[in-house]
Amino acid sequence: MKMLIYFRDLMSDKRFSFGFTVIIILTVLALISVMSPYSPVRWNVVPEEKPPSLKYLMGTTSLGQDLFWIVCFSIKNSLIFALTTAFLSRVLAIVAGMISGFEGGIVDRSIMILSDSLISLPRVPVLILVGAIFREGLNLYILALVMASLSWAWDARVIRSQILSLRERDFTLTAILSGSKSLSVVFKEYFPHILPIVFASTLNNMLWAIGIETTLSILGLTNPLIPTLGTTLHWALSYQALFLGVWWWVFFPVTVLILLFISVYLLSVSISEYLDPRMRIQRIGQAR
Amino acid sequence: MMSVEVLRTENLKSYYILDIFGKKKVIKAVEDVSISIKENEIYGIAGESGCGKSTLLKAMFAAVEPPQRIIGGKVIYRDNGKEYDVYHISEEERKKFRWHFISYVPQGSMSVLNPVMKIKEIFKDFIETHTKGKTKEEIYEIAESHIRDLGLPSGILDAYPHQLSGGMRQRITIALATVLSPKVVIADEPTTALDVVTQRGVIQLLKDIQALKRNTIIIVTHDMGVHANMADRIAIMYAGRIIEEASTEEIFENPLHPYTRYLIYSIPKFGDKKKRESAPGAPPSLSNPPSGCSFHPRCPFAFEKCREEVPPLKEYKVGHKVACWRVEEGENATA
Amino acid sequence: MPLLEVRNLTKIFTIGNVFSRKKVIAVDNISFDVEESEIFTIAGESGCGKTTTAKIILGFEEATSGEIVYKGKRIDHIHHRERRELLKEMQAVFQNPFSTFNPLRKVDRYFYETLYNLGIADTKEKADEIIKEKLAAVGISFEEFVEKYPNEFSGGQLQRISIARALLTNPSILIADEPVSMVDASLRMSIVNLFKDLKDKYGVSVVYITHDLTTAYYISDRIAIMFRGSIVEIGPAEKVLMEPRHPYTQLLKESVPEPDPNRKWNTRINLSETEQSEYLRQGCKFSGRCPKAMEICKRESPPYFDVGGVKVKCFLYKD
Repeated sequence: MKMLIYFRDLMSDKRFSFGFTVIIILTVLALISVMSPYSPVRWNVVPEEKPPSLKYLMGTTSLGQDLFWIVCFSIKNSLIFALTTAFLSRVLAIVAGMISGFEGGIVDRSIMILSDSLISLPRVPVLILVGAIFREGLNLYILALVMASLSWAWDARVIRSQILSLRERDFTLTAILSGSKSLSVVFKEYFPHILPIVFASTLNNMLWAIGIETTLSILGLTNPLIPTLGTTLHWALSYQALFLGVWWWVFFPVTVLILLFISVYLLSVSISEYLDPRMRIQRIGQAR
Repeated sequence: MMSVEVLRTENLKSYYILDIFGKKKVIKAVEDVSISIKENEIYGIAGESGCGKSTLLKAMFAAVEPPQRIIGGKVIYRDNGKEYDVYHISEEERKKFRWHFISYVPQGSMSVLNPVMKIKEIFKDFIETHTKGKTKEEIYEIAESHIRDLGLPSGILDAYPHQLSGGMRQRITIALATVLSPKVVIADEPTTALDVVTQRGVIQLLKDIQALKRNTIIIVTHDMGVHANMADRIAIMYAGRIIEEASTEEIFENPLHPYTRYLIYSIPKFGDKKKRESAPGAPPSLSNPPSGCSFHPRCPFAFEKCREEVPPLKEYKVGHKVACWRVEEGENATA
Repeated sequence: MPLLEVRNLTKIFTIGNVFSRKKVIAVDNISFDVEESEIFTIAGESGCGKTTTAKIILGFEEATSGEIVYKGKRIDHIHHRERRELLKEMQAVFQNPFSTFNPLRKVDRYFYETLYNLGIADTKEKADEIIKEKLAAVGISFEEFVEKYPNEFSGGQLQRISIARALLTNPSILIADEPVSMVDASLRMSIVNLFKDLKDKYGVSVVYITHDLTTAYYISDRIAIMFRGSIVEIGPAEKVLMEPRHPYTQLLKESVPEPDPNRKWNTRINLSETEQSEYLRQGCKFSGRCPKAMEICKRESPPYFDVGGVKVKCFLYKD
């Protein structure tokens, strides 16, 4: 019930409604990939290099694949990959940030030293190195894990500083006076304040994940047999699609990428504004 | 002596219009306020938090920023015998008034004083922005003589804000606001965050400035003790309206509005342990004020008419205005 | 036996980094007792150490040295579990009611948590009953209270609710840190009267921490005036505030603006220019501003002298 109200409020924001609609369309495309008549790894299942038509909505590739179905598979894999990365790295960030902020002392210092080292590490070269080491063995889940462990540090820091400031607020003392234990203070009192950061950073992290995956794929550092938006572009580029006039092979994946980026960005902006504690405080309890 | 008017509002209305994810919220912070402020007087505006007093000040200072809006009425400045309707002149002209004719002392001193600049540099920056064609030496000269005039130690000009105490910082903010000799100084809760001893020092300074420069001070605070010590006339504000206005002696000796009475009679005094009662209930919300007289839900004397019609602010005797149906109907001529 | 004893309490904060450490003595060797069913006021300006004292009593800060004794038992350095048990006896009310409760949580949650966590109620019915009783004591109805967020109340209402929460455990002592300074002027006295009622009707002791001497005079039995970490004068409120002995208490009382236009100030005062100088001062910390300062005040810190039942920390009363 509450969720419905939140959703209705959010839909009144144009940015959210646009982003949401696009994401829904992309999700539908990702879902119907299970109905694909062809396996995404098989070649030469349809005539080569046919321009978009009613029969082949997005045309066919030089490899004899139906681009429409390939794009559907790519969206599915890219979204799953982005969500996995974001989820794993959020879990790491929340746990590290909360423990560090609430415990303080030596625990805090060790976590912060670790996070500082990760922040100062140049992430793209590290990922290229990882890609080069794993080569074909690099499936999307391993890549997601590697990326998650590289990207939690900054958000953990943000969460920690939030907790540090919340700890000084009087309501922390009220909770203690009410007999609450530390863990319950952290989850009941602090978590609602942390949530907006988590949400906004989840979406940002997804954007980053998709971007990096595309970069690595185009460079040929991931397994090209797993169709993602990046690997699709990788094949298109290695077959010199643009040069040969097979423009749709590049156009559709790029369009989907751009749409995905814009819509996730808009969702992130809109949701973080909506969840901003100051805004929430103004919204809740308008009876007065 | 006929005193000359320096600033006046006519039926001023100023609201905050907020749009929170499609839900419109209108806060009627200033409703129909008409006050007339004279040259070289200290005019006090009293009221509790959320009664619209800061909004009124911003409207008078012509520093209205969204979501605050002027909905109706006028603010009139009177300078050298000429009247200017502040919201009907260009922004350029308005700027000329700011700090030269009217200035503003905000609540927190730290937000005004740049922490990485010495006090004299802050003065230099301020004077440079608002006047033209002065050399650095001339500006330092002005700042120093102003500081000396106000009886503040001149050594503070070489200090950084964090090296000074809170009271000294607040006094510097006041010195800064008055360095261009404005005719009207608006002070918004200038002593609220300060300790009593410091507060006394700040009030002392404001009074000194008034005696020295013969200007007008509009002071807003909820502390009736401060008003008793400073103001010549006092206006009591409640839920966006002025409900009573009179000279300070008159307000304290013969308060007419029930709200004013609660305000004054509830303050405990040394040597008197008589039970003090607060007004019942709580202040109304400005986004949804009660019908009729906005004090009626809390007023022990309220009757039918109070619930239906807003009482007008009427002069009950010379210089004493009150907005209360009970006074109007003469049932409470004395008490 | 006094209910609460504070003995030689000192708190030193170190500020700065490894290279330039500075010590600030926030609370400097203070001692006082709070009797049963008594309103004891600690009054002073900001930075005098009154809030730090309250936090140490409540166990939110650790003292550098000194003892806190409650009902004859030391309560500084006690275990978590004992501290939780102590919550039933000792509760607190804070200055700003809007920061007392988490703005994103409903207020009634704190009530149920207090009752369940401390084992006072085990069923919802029982809890509701206790909550209703305590809300009635502060003049709030249960219906207007349940399922609401803090910003749905006015400051005055919320402060009453905060007091009701503190009363849930039937405490013997309430620590109230500036409980009325954020409450609207027209409602302030109703809260102050509430503390008086609690003492008169339920025999609750209150440590009332304030900068406002007039409300302190109005409700307290005894008062301690603090200045820069030390108690400079302590005794019955009537005596301390009607005939202040210490020059600082005199200045403080005289600086309260009286709501009477016929009694405006006619003397002038000097203010300290910077904040730190007085903390680090040798001898009596007030000597720099004191109109009656003598040679000895600048060298030695004065002991307490008993003047007609009032203890004054000032060399003026040496004989």
